[in-house]
Amino acid sequence: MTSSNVVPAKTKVVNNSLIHNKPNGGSSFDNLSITNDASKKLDFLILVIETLQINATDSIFMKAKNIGLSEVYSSRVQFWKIRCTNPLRTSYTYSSLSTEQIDSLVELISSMAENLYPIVRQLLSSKEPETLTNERWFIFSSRLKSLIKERMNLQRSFVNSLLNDSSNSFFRELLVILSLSCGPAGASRLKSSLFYQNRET
Amino acid sequence: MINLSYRYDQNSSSLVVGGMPDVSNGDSQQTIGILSTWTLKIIGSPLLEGKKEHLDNLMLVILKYSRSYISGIRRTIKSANNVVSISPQGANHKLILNSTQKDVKPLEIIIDDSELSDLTRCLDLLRLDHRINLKWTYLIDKPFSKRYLQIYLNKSNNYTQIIFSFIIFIISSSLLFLIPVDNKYETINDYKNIPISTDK
Repeated sequence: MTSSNVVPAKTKVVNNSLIHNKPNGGSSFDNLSITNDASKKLDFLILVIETLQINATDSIFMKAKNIGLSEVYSSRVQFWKIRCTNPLRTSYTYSSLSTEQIDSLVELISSMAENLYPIVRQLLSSKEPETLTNERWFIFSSRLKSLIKERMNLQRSFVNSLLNDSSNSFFRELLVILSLSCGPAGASRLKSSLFYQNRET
Repeated sequence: MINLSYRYDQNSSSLVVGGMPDVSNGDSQQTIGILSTWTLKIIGSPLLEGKKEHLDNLMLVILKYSRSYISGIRRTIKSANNVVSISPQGANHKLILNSTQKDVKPLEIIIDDSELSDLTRCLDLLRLDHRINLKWTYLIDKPFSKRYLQIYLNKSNNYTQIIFSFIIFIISSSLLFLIPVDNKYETINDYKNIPISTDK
């Protein structure tokens, strides 16, 4: 049986009051929906964090506790269940992320990215010596690919294309997202990219 | 009059703003309410400086571009009066700054992804700094409309799948034409339906 990377549309209209950290006075838009690839994007971003940091799960739990998300991330099983909303996972649960789960994951990813920013920056920089960059990319991509092999559904064409892609364009895209998610407005920026407006305001 | 100066450093970018409190607006002694100078140093490029409007345009263009880029959209972003623009150039990004003075050539700066994120962080720090009480054009990051995403996101993969499935359908159905038709089938059936004559 053939499988494709097309994910069934699971749009969900959400309350706009939850969308932003409101850095400059809040947002003024209604009717937001979660993008189809939000769960996939968030799970892959955590996978990149796990690639860049050894024992990242422990650090994630520590960070969750520090930023006051310990209730949501009470156990590893709970965290794993949230991540299993990614349709590309072997253990896909056929469920979708709630707005509160997206909120907490975004906060967590943004604060983890802050710690990992120097490493992310090194990988994205074109000013570093080429041999050193290639070596770093080889270690990063091989480690990430082994995690993908371990956890994702290899019958999915998208997963296979990731494993066979020598240009690592998707991995680079994830690193760019991670780098732009850092800083005081990083979480808000990442969160905005996971929603879309049904009508323009 | 108190002259204040604040500095925002992020690896390859360093932004310094200078000004004074706007007493008529009720600013504290540590708040910049009137911007008098700003300088931006990106490693490997000339020092940038200008008026508040120029910094506002630069902030608007860079933050809009970063907002698009995090959604996977790479497109040229220009300020209203075309003073500042940024566009993708291969794996890098080309920042063009047009001088408002006559006979001054536009300044082109090529930045990579790491420098773009450094610059974005610098500008984020500035606009969210409570010590700066200035009105900026770029306020918050908003989700794009569905239509905007449909227009600018590269959907080539989805179209490729549709095209491939259509080609496979055409090929498989044309193969059916190669199967010879059994013309005798009907004749045999008809033959069987003829009643056997018992005259002899």
